[in-house]
Amino acid sequence: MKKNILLAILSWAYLLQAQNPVDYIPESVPYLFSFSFSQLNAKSNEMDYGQFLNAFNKRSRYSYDYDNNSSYSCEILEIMDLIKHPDSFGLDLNERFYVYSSNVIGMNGTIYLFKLKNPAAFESKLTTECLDKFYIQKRSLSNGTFYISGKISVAINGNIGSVFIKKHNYYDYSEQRTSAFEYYDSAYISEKSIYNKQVDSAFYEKLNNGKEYNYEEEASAMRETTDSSIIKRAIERDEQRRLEATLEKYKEIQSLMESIVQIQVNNIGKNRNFSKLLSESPDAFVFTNSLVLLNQEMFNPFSSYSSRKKVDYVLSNQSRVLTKDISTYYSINFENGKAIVNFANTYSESVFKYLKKAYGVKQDKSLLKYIDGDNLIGYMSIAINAKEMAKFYEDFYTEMLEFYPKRERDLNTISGIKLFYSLMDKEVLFNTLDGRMILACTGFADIKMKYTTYNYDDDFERTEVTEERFVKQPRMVLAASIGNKENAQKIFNILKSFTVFKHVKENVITLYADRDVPFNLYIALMDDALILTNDGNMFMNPIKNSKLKSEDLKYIMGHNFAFKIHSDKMLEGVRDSYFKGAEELPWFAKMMAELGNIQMHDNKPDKNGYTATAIFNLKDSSSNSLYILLKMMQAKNGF
Amino acid sequence: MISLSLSSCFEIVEEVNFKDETKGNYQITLNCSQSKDRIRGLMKLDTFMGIKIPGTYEISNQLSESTEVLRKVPGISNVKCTKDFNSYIFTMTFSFDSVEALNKGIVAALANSSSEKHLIPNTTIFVKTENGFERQAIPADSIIKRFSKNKNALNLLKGASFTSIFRFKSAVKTVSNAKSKIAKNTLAVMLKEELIDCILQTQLLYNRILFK
Repeated sequence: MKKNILLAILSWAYLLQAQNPVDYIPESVPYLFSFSFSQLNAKSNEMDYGQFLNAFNKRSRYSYDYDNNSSYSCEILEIMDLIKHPDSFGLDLNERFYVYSSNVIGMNGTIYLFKLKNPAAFESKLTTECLDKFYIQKRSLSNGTFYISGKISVAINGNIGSVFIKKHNYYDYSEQRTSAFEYYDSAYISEKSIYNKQVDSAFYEKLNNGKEYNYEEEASAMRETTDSSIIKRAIERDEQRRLEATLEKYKEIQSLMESIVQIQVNNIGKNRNFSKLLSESPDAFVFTNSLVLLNQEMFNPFSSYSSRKKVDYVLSNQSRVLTKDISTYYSINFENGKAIVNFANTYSESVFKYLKKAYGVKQDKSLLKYIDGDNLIGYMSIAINAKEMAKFYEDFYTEMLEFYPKRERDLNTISGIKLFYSLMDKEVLFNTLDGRMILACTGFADIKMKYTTYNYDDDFERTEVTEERFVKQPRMVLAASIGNKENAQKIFNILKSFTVFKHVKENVITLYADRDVPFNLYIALMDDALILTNDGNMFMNPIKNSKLKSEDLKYIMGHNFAFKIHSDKMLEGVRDSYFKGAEELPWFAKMMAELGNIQMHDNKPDKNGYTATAIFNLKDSSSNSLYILLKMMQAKNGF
Repeated sequence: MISLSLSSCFEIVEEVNFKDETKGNYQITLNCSQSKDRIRGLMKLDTFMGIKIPGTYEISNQLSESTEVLRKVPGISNVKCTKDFNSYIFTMTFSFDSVEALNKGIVAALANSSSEKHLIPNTTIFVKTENGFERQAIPADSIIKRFSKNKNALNLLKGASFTSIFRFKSAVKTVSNAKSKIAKNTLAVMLKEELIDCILQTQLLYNRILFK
């Protein structure tokens, strides 16, 4: 006996220890957010970061209430209170907090999953009763304690806690009362009728017993008599009906809550990509199960929203090749002196064969002569083989469409798409510009702008005149490498024939600024590049540009994707162009003092995936970047 | 003081043309073409420096409503409004049969354009005297005075100008406002000032014009 008790205690202790929230999350979730309270708390240095978590507030609101009853605003808990004060809710801050969506049909909503250090403290923070006593149902079962309501439900199973916020559905109506007097059921009417007859008889007898009465007074008194027990019984019957209806309605939610706090055999922890992400222990991340996400009905171009009848879909009997094992994640880590955002896209080995060719190119060095290296404020460089990338997307999306469930009549759609696509000239589409380009900002230029004003003669008669003035605009240049020169010339000649473009030179056209395009756009076809810019001087008064700094050159040539902003130069330019005396703006001054360069680059794709990294550098490398960013936001709010 | 590059930003031109002793035309033009690139950018925002930025639809709507309000004022006719959203030039013109109608028209149009409850109360902006014409100072409790308390809004007005031209059938003898000018043909008076000064110095627009 003692051995059995000891075994039970040890098992229970082991269960509590082993309760890992990841084990409860199904592998089929389309997306998952997660962050670590303990890591963020340590790095924020007691500054409040809760305001940036408002995106997780998925509160559902009803728009009307016939009874003007405040019960519908009664909620079990406020999710933002939980997220902003997790320790007071008894959460285990050393475990991650997870947010994902429900996949169950008819039960759309957001699920919050977390580990509890003190389940009793958590339960004590819940609102367990409302004005409408049926609104929250508490159930204590062997598999957990559940608080169920129409909007927010809570489940506790050992040290695992979960909150589910149901998305409001217009058709969720049954709980609403159409009238304040629904206890007027047939039994009430019948009892009241009998009672009225009794009262009428008694009144008749009274009036006819020979005594003098004031008829109006007596009749009024008679009308006011009521048997409160009839109403009491009617209300009890009505409450019982409402309770049964509520229990019936909450059955589905109950079932969902029970599944949420139950260990999943196929849980997300078994996904190797997710496990790898978790092992890196980022401060926060979002993980998307791309295949699950894309297979949702809203993304299926063949789904039938117009019909409410169940539609028999035809499913593919082939095996996935390109569209299997795809997932994406973004993670952020706040380190001293920088914040790092990592991005990863995982795929099958079959995809790698395509991407190896698509990314097997270097940036075109000849584009660099169009960029002014000395005044370079920021740039974005992309170098891919457009033809190879197009081939990949053709096969990828064809397979994607093949696997979407579709009706019989849609089976020919894919064949139609393939036929149409095969008739297109791929050489023009994907090799006119070969996929290599650089977009750069090279300072703030004085751009001439025409405006209307008035002159007055000696008699003050007004005449309208057009004058010019200089305005500051960021000088932008997009240089794109040409693949097929003949096609490029053909397309450019067609563009020249549009009346919106004015001819500046033989190979330069311009679109002057108007309401929709607030800058002059110059398009030029050079021997080796197509140039788009708002700086006409590039062609009117061309000068030889200075070379890029070696670090920028190395960065551009070393990656298929490279992005960089020299923050000092950018902020100085913005300040000088738009904010005279901007030092008085505390948030701007803070940005100038703290912000370092921002950069992003990719890594060569490998067999399993393609990754990229963005780094937000700060000038102070001794303080944590989260703390500094929060101080900058605080300065902004103080503006 | 922070000054944004909306300086030299826009001009307001007001013209009162008398056809005879009492009747005439009124035209007011808001010309923002100098700042059209900034305005295009601003109109993509919801607010800027705490100031709500109206969209094209809102501006158009407001002007249409003001036009309708003006049409209902007795003594006001031929109300026209032009809107140029490329150069951001907006013009409102109407005819008036008396200076009283002119005052009522302007007050009604201003009242319609403001969300404030206490608007310019029956203010007399222009006065026709026996041998002259007066433009009154801005009342202390006017919308403009309240507007002057918003520092951010004031900063946006730096460089903006206000031009007022009155044309008469009678020759002008004297003007009380030293900053105003009499035309060469003596039939017109013009005053051009910085808009921000007009707001901060309420007496700046006051002018008593006497005819010969």
